[in-house]
Amino acid sequence: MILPMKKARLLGLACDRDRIFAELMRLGCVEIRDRAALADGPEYAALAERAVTDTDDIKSATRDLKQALDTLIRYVHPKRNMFAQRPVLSEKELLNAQALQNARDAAAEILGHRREIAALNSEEGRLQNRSAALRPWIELSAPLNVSSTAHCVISLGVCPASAKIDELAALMEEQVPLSVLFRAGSDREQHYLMVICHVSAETEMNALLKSYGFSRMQFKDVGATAAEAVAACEMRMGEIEIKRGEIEKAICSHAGELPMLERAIDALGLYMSRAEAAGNALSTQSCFYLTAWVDETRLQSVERVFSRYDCAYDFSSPEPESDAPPIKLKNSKFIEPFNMVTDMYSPPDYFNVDPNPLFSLFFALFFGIMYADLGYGLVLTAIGLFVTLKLKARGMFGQMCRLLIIVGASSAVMGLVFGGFFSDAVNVIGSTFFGRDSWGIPPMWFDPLTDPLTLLIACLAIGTVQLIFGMAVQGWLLIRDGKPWDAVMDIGSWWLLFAGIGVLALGGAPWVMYAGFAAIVLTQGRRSKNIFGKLFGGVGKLYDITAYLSDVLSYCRLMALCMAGAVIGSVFNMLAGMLGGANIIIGPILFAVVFLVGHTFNMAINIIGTYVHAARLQYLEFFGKFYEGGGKPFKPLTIKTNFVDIIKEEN
Amino acid sequence: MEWLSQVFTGNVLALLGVALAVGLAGIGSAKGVGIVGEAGSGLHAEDPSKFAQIMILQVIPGTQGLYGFVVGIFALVQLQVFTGNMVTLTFQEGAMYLMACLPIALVGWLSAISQGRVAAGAIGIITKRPEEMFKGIMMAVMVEFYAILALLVSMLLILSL
Repeated sequence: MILPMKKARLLGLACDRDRIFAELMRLGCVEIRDRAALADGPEYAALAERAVTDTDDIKSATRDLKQALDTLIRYVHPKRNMFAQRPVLSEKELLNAQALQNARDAAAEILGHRREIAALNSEEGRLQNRSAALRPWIELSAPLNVSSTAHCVISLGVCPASAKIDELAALMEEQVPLSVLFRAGSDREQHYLMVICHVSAETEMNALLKSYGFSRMQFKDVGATAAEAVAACEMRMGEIEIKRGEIEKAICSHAGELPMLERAIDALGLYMSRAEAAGNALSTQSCFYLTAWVDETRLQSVERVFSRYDCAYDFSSPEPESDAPPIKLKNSKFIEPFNMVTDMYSPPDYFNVDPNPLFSLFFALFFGIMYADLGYGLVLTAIGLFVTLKLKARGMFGQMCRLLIIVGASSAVMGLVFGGFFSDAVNVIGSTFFGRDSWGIPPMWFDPLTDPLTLLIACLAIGTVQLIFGMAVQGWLLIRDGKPWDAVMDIGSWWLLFAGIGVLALGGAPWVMYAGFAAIVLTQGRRSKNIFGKLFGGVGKLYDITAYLSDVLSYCRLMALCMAGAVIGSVFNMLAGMLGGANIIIGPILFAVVFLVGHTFNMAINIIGTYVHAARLQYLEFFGKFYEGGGKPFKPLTIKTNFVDIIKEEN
Repeated sequence: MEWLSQVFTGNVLALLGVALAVGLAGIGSAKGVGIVGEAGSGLHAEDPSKFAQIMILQVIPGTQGLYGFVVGIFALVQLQVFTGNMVTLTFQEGAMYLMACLPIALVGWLSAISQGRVAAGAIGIITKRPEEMFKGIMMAVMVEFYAILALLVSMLLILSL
């Protein structure tokens, strides 16, 4: 059911504000409404504009802590136990100011280390580039910044690899007598050269070099030979390596502070949501005003908190026209997991109805028909039970696991009805290993593969039942909202028509059906102003019969998915049987491998499709009859933590 | 023209059906999975932690290939190919096998590609709103339904031949 909500208004003293918010947060059943919702009056406009709380500080501190935590995790690689329970703290312990300060100090230190490492890394990159640039010159024994003398011109430079250096040397000897050419080395792209010549021959020399594509290079900042410079680079890189190791060790020494950082992040998160909620109140120097939605079942505890402070407050019920209260659904343990299905569509409108109790049985049944297999169903239930009991899954994940148990059980039952156990595994095992062709689980009703038509008719019949039920819900909603005549005319006339078609199909007289047609034509145009509008509206409405028809036919997907799963499963059994029968020793092993892989795959692809189609039948066919979504989920001010659990303190 | 009647025997037509069912549906799935893979590796480069979600989306268009394969295997079993002596079919019988294979061959081929496109779009959902991922999966699975219908009709036809 949809939990009833009350609208609360509170006018309090500014000095009590933080304490009141802290207490409301502990209760976890009050949603502070957005300040935009209450600032429509002109007298509030001035207040609404002023920033009430400064969250920048909390945000930047949280960012630092998260960065520090990431860094720590990157270097320490803590072993996480998936099954570990989260540590349990009291709120006071979590919000301990000293612990928070310690965590922030530790984070600052870790981030300092992180910056040092970043600086070292970029220096290392520079050194790598430099040594790569100098390495080709390593054979040259002269310092690289060697400069020309009074009589000699000395130049360093490169020629493209295609240039013939031997030819150049020969030409130099011929044309420029006072010159020497040293080749420091060559690689795939270039030759690395040093050329010395007498000042008098510089022009000839340059002309010759130019024709060989020589380009000069200068190493002003290298005061040594290339070999020495490269060695220096390498030494510095070695130092960096050691330094970095030391810093990493320093970071790792913070490993013990990891839980402290996590706690601090949670504590700041708590302050943050408190500050954000406070931001939704209107404040002046001395007082604050807020409106909120309160879970009506917890009204007394909220009132107890308010009454402890000097403040004015009142509670009122929401109005259907002007209010849109948030939605919180409360259901029994069996129905609760289906909330997930509704949430994926849209929570109900507050003044509509909680659909979960209405469709949960249908959903389980549809899932069972489509997944129908005793083996698959038992596996799903086992997985759901294991995760629920062993890992104590909570929240959304826990709901999913409980849903798995329910739909698994339903699939197992339907598997018995249709005689499927890992499709036809019993039969294949019997004929492969024991030479018996007659083995198998006899279906309690019939085998869909041999009699698909019966299955189709059964599925359409179930669909018709759900559609009629959906219309009944709509009728009930109309009666509840004080419109019994609308219920009779909109639902009753269609039911009369359906009954008429049923009577005709069973061989009765067509009069009931004619009465149904007449009822629809006479009532469905009643909202039009003039007589022609009324008549044409009623006749036009007859076309809706095609919508009902396509709604019913849509349920044939139950048959399709039911048979597809069984067919694919039986192909895997067949493949496994072929391999298994081939050899007496490795045969059974191959059988087991193909069987396991095949059926795991089939289960995995089918579970997605089955869930989607079971949900779709609710969303389009069933919800289409009565449901109004668009509700906003109830988001009470509450303690949200990621790393620890808070124990409730009585107050 | 004698070669024509030699090539178009009932058995060859039946095997052509098997080839189309496995081949076309397989091509479709390969394309569909490929489209999602391309979109997914872009996201993976940005955020490697999303690998599991990308994987789930990527395998969705892979099922049509499996459906085609299932139909092909069933046809081969009916034709007793695995026992070593394939049954001899008349031209009409062979043509009926071919027709029976066509639904999954055609629908499997094209629906896998459409499904791949939807799933590739859903990669964008993982990027921007990972919590809404299941809705992306739902949209992709909607396309699958028609391949399932084709699979069923092909299966029922082959089993009735």
